[in-house]
Amino acid sequence: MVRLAHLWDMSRCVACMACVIACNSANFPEYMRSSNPNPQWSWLASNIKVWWISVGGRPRVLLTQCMQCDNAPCVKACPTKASHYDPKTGLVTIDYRLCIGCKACVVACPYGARWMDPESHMPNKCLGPECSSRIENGLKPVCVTVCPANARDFGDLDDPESSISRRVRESTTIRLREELGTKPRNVVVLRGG
Amino acid sequence: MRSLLLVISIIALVLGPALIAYGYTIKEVHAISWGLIVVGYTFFALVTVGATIVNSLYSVFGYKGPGEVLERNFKYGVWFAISAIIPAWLLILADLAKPLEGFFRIIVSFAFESRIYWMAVLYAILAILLVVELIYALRLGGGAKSKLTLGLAIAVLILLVDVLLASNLAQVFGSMVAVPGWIGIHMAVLFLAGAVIVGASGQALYISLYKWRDKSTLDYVTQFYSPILVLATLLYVFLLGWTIVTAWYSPAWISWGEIVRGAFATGFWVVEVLLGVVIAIALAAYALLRRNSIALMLTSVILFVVSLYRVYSLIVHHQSIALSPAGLPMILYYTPDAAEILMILGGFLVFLALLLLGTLLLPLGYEEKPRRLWIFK
Ligand code: SF4
Ligand code: SF4
Repeated sequence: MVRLAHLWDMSRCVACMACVIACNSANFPEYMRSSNPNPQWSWLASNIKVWWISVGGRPRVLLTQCMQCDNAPCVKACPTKASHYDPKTGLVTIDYRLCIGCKACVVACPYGARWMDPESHMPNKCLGPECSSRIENGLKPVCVTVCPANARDFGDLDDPESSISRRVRESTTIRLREELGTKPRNVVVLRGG
Repeated sequence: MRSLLLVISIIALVLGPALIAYGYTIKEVHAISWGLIVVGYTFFALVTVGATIVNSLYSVFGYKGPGEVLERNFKYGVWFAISAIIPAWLLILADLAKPLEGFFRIIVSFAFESRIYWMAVLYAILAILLVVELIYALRLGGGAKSKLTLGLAIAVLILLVDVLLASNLAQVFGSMVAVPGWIGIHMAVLFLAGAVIVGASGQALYISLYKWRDKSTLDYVTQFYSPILVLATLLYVFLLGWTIVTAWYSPAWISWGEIVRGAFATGFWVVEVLLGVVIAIALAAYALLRRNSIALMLTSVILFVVSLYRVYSLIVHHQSIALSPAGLPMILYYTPDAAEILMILGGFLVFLALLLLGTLLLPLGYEEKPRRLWIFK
């Protein structure tokens, strides 16, 4: 069984936002023209959300995206099965032919990982169309590729030989808001190995 | 006069959906996902549920009310419930990105885990049952006869679907772990008590207005609805208090705290508590003791408006203050836009137009029987 997930290393991230911009230009090229195309987040049309938090009184950035929950509230809430686990990759995916734009998945997601497209009124989330096709072709998502600090990774958590599994083994990691029972796959590295 | 009212109601019936359709074309995306349109939908759904619960006192339990007011106005009560379910449908469909295929897509998905899937199923069943009940009652005429086996069976089914629908609607919100303020078990009972308040107050107002010349009916309406409003409000206060105490010991306090003593406290204490509890109970008690129908109508107006605010607060305020992925509080600012306000106005126009049209065209009076096309006066 393949369990694909993202890893984001907080200790390596230099907050350059290259991943955020890359997600925007790769997955939402049509929204590059406007300065505020994601009114839900008051932010760029990107599937990576930026949170400014304070750690020990100092500002830190927390970058989140769809956590690829194994027990995904968005999938449970969806009344049309448009939000589903892709049978091939196991990733939480939206089938836009079935989606009716009810926004239940957006409300249900405890990570705020989804946002509504202001024109089509349909939900967006990581992985966007460009990244999905990259994964199908054995490539990594754009955010991982462009990161200059090697703070990102993507791969199969069930493959002990994968780079993501190795980094998880060698680092101090957490998964966000596990207490909710969502079983997020994505890993946040607090201290790299 | 009748022709004028007919023309007004037909214009309103065309204008209402037109406003909703226009609002749909200009609606915007907000920081929170479920805003005023979902509030309007939930409100009308609760009106239907509450009105049907009140009707069931007669249709299921055989209670006719003082002066047989419940039996004599039963068909008006059913029409009132039907009139509210239609704007509820229109509003929730207009909130979707694809309103025309929304219902079909939901029904054929068999997404049993989704509460919204069950809403669509239960809503469809309730709408059909209410229409069947109305036609059955219209065809029979009178009220007592609807206690025949078939009438009773329909009424029991309606009550069952009603309670399931209100609880499931509450769980649409209550099952969302992303919004800590929506505490599952409390939402269901709050919705049921709130439904009785808004359904009973709406019905009381409706019957009082069209029977405003009939002193004895007004008197019986006052005797019947005043205690219901007092008791339902007391029950709501108890359940709300219980919810707030539960929230105090849980992450739900993040939004309940703001409602009770933070950013939304003025609305809570002035609208929900002062108007919706203290003044409403005092007025309803006065109406009952003095047999004062004006006081009852005033109570009903207050509770109808306060209920809309309560639904707004329950849905919008709890989404506005949530926890970020880091577990820290975050505030999402939301103000309804012009499109949403137009759509809500459209919903109310449809509701009022249907009430008026039904009253004018259908034989809803106790003694009345259909003369034209099976169901018309
Ligand atoms: S993070 Fe949100 S969108 Fe992604 S799988 Fe979990 S609930 Fe769904
Ligand atoms: S917006 Fe689409 S994907 Fe999300 S819950 Fe509704 S139908 Fe499913």
